[in-house]
Amino acid sequence: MDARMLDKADLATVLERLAQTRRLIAPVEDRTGAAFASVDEVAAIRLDYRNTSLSAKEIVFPQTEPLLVFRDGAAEERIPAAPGAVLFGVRPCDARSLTMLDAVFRGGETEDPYYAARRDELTVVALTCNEPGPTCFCTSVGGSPDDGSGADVLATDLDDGLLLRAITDRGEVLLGELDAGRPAEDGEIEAARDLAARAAERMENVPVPTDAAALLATFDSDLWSDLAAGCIGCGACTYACPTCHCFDITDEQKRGTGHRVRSWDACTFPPFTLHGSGHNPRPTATARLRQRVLHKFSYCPENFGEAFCVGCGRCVVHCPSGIDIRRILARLDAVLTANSEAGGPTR
Amino acid sequence: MSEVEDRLRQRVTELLDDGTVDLFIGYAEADAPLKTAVHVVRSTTDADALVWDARCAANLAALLPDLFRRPENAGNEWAPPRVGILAKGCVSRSIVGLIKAHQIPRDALHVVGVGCRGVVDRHHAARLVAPAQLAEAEFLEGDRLRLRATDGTERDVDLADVLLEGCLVCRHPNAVLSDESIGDPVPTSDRPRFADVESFAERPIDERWAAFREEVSRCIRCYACREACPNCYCTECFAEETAPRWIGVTTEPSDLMLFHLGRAFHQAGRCVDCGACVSACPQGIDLRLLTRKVNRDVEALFGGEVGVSLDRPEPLQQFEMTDDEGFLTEP
Amino acid sequence: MSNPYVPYPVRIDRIAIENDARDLKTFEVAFLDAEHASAFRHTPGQFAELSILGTGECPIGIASSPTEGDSLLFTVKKTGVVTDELHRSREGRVIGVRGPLGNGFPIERMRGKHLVIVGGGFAFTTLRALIRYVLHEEHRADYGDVTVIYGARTPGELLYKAEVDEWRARDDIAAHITVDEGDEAWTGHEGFVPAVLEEVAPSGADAMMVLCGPPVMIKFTLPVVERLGFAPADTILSLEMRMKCGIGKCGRCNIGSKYVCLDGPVFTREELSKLPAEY
Repeated sequence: MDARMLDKADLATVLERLAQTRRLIAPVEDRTGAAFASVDEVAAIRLDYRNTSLSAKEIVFPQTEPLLVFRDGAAEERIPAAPGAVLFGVRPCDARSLTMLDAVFRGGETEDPYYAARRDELTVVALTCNEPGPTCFCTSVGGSPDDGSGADVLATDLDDGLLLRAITDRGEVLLGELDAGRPAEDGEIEAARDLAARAAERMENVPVPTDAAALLATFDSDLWSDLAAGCIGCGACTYACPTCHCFDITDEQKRGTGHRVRSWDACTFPPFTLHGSGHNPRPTATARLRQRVLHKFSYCPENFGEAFCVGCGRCVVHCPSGIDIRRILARLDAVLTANSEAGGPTR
Repeated sequence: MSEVEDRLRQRVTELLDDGTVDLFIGYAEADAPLKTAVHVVRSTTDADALVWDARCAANLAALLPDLFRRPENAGNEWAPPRVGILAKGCVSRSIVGLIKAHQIPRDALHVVGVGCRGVVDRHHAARLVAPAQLAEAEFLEGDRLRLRATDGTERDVDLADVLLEGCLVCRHPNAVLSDESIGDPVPTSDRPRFADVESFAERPIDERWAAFREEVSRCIRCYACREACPNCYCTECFAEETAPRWIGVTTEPSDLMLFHLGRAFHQAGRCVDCGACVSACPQGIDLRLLTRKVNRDVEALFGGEVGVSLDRPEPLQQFEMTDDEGFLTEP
Repeated sequence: MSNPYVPYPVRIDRIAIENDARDLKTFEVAFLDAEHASAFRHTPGQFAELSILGTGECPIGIASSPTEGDSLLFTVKKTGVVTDELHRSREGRVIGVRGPLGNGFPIERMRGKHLVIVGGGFAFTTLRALIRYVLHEEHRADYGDVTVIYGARTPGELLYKAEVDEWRARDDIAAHITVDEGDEAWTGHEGFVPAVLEEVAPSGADAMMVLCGPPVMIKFTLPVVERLGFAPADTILSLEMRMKCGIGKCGRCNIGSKYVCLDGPVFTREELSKLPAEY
């Protein structure tokens, strides 16, 4: 597929041209470090970021989005218009998370038309990683610094140039539109691969248990109350996470007109599973943390074939109590290994 | 490891061994820059993980109310645990507040007071290295901090320049309530306490409204601020009640503004300005914008500081016939 | 594909108050659009999200059988915000229905078997759908003996009283109705459902058991079910969970790796034994 080398000096002009015909979403400097934003001024784009504070999922799965608008008892759907956006410069972990969100929102017997509308028109240019971030562990969960899942073009910073490699038909279309740079040389593609490989080498290795059934078997273990000891029940981890997708549906109205909206929700919140009767199947922080971890590392592998974690480590950065998924996984892995060696059930 | 840490670990081991406490809440290392983890010590082997320094942002008192709530399926044999806790000044004030609000029992607590020289504001550090991320932070001699960023750059800053703003004006760095103390007392700040409130008040009302709207527009309703706060112990928050429905759960501007207004006013007479909310917020929102004003107003109107003494009622836990009622007629 | 979040508009044609406490009402609703009516083909045991624009939605089991025509019946207990608003509604009001959702009772696998249908309290609603389906002249011959054991706290709390009386008079169904505490007029059993099941003692051989009721009733009935010889794979339960989307996207209603709105709400005891006890 098409691979082009773009001089960094030309990048701004190229992106400016792109911004005239496409909605350009890229990382910009932000109070938290970096964040994705719809960009009008190309000069604001900062590709010299490591990763954003929150994930890119807001682009296909906004925090708040109207599903229906209703007036005087009649409802109409509100499918978002999504004119061919380009997500430029997202990291491979966030690009990969899109494939997991695809499995949830587009898989099964029903497709979510709101997600589909935003996702269908999105071209993803993933900026491969030349070094790992302080909390990164993508290689431990099946990803890599130059993983192409969920991306249409892989971009790599090669000092004076930006290498752009199309990896899907949609990516080819974008490169055609950009009509910039020159064909990439094999040596440049090789250099890009080397950078990613070296980044992978320098990344922390986290032992991640992959036996979904064995993980489920830890359900009644005391270990979980230990792991959940500091959890205060906020949603910082869930909301920062690229693959968390739970949502609430509420009606907002004022004098006969209004919206049915969906907004982010978190299994870590106490009222998440609260029944109208007052019964709560997950009444403790222990039960809720256990749900979060088992959902990602046992139930999703069972239902979708992979753990719903891309190893970005944002949950580690943001947890106000310093709970660390890498330590949780290592501890679970140790317990499971010990159990399988002892040949007995989990304690 | 500092002397204070050494002494802390030793004391906690002793407190567990001699049965004074069933568990001890403190801080431990976390594998991320400028972060510590909340550490619940139940056995003496875990005591060695305790740390104490300017990364200790969480208000540990937030964990207390749940520990003393009788679990749903508890039988008659359930008794509240004896809980030890490391308390810097603001944490001890939160403990006073919780005791006065009957959320936690004084006699089941063993408070180890420690003097606090301030907590580093992780968002301020992030802004200094943006758009790169903080890779490592190292404390240096002379109250300095070395920040290493993911882009390879390094900068040394004065701690005083990166502390939480509340720490800069703190009048209670040492525990106001304790069963014992470790380390030397820390001197209080003498900076004007409400300069920020006064300068904000000088701006035209339209500007203030716009600034408030802008500030909370970044909120994603993760409730990290709420859960990190010891005062937010309600089993059902006004923000999530469905009957009646006070506010929506969305990030529409009206929902965001009402949530933060509600939160700020619910802090009246209770906020100790510990800054745990600011540290907890993933979006770096200035959550003290409104609470600072509320705190100043409560002091001005009703006298007395929050959470400094078990012997006096909290400012809003009592009334005098002479209390100012101007808010009723002069908004 | 149509948008699964858009409800079909339906008109409330009839409201019947089911119990003395007046907190249980049966709503008969008719689709405004004939195309929607044809699209809505449900199996007994399935549920729908009832929608009131401006208030919200709630998941309610469908109490009518697909054999009863295009209208649907929902028996709703007044519990929270949406059910409150529903109870305040009058005949003629237009509300919304999303569905059918969930997996329904395994009516195919139940063919050729004797059926023992045990219900308690207002969990009886989807069992009504099942009974009406099985008793229908087109289906009755597909099933063996049909035994129903239905209990409520008092006679005033029994649902579908007129229908239940009809069932007691029929000879193609053995209906045992019980109350915890009867009154002077009461002529049926008096006693808890598990006790009546023990008394009636239907055999588990070539039979399937469908059990719906409050957790405490289930807890005491299951040992009896076991003693009578019903295999876990042939013991069928219907669960409730807090729900929102009803289509397996919002992540709220899972028990382990199963979503109650997709893989349930009907589960066999065998299936449940593989899931964590988190419901």
